[in-house]
Amino acid sequence: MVDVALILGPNLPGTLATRLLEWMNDPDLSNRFLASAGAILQLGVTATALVSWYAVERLGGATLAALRGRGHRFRNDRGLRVAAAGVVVFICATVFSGIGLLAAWSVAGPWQFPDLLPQELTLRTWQNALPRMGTALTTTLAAGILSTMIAVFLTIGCLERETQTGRNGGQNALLLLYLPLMVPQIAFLFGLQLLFIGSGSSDRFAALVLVHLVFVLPYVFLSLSDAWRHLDRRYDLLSAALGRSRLSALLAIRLPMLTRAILTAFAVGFAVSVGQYLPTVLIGEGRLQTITTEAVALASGGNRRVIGVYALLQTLLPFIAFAVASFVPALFYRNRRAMQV
Amino acid sequence: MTNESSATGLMLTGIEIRLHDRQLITLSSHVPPARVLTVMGPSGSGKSTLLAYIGGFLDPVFQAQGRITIGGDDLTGIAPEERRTGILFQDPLLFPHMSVGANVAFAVPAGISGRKERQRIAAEALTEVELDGFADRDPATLSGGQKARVALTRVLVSRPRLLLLDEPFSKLDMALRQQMRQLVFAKARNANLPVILVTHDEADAEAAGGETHRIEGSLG
Repeated sequence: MVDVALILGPNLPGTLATRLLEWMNDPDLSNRFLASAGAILQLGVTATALVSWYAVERLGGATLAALRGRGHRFRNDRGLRVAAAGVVVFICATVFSGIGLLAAWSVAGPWQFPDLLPQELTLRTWQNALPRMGTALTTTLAAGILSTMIAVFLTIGCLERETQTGRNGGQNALLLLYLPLMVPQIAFLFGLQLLFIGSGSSDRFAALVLVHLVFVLPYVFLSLSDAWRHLDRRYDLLSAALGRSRLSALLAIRLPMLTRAILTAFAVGFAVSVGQYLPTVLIGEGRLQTITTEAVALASGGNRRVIGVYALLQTLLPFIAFAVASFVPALFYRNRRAMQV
Repeated sequence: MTNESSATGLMLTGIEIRLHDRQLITLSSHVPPARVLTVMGPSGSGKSTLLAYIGGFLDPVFQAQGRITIGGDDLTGIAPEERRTGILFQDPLLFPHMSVGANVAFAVPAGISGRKERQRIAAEALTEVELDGFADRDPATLSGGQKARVALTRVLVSRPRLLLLDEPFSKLDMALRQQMRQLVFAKARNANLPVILVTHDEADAEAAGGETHRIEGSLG
């Protein structure tokens, strides 16, 4: 995660990922070889981490199975439960107080050290920042909506094909789909960047949408496929037996019944697109700004008020998408009890 | 059986369904219009695969052969949506996002394209099962018996050429079960439909009153 390192420790010696980014963007082209070698190293590091995680998981599973086999029930696990809940509460509290603090800064007037609250609240920061965010906001929305729409269409196409043939793509197809999530971004984004340059296309925005799609698609597929496969297949059989074509069954039965799942998958995809930092920076070559790239760029600067505005907006966009995903079906199917959650 | 009688009704010739090396069903039978063929077997015996084969949606893991003709027309190998085989499952499977009326109107054959006309046909069909005025209701608010009647109406409105029943009474309570049996068989007789009923309930077979084909489940 390059963006995290950039925000938390801008002055510290960079992590491998941030160094890779520096080498890649270095005017001295010979550093690109260094970057390529580094990307392979990063891949190895990630693979090691994945394998270790998997080993720990297997070990944990085997231990639990053995304990279960011996009849242990662990009924006195109250302390453990409280501790686990405590950790979650602590993490949530940290995140929400962070957002709260940013919100406070974004509307703060003068706010000096010993004061608990700002002396006055003002919308000046928002009024100054918003007009300047126009382009970044448009790029964020357009790239997010376009890449997610393409992803949702592709996912529905794949799943519908699966419904028709009764066969899915198998483990290998799934692996291919999730590969971009497992391989570190930094290890293959340079390749995508080279591909884009090599294609001779100058449509940077189209490239941005496609690169976002690489990361949005797996999440959309992951989010939608379970709901899709769990919808009773007899609805499809029934509608065919009633003389309706596959297309008609898809449009009149499957899609409406899955409205909520599709909108949720859309919200997930949109949130992923909004959050993309490195792909946006590399493919946009610094000429395409989104709310996220602006927020990361501002983070190392000192203006907490402006950072607050950007960070809030960055949080707000996915929130709006999720809100739409839960309110629209609720409103639309308010008279259909079986369609409620 | 004369040539004339075999041209009407449902003819199953040399049906054979296997899963890998295991033979599930072998069956040849003639079901005249308004008659019921009951297929009995324990769960796991693969009796539902027979309905899937006739309906044209048998899972490709099964190997099946045999000819299906209805009124002299060969159904074997044509698309499920072209076969017009009405089917009722254990659950009513009403489309939860549609009103009761829309559920039935969805099944009105494509030849009738006017929206108003389709709604009128649906409302009229609902009246025939004593559900007049139910067209605008949410299916989720109906009782079990009402749902079963809507499901039956939906199938009949699609003007099927035969009726496949996949244990449609097994989830109803005793009193309701008896009522639904009578209603379904009466409607099928009125519409002159050949029926295949798959069940493990002897009472179903008795009520159906036709020929019974028993299959032995290897899973017992």
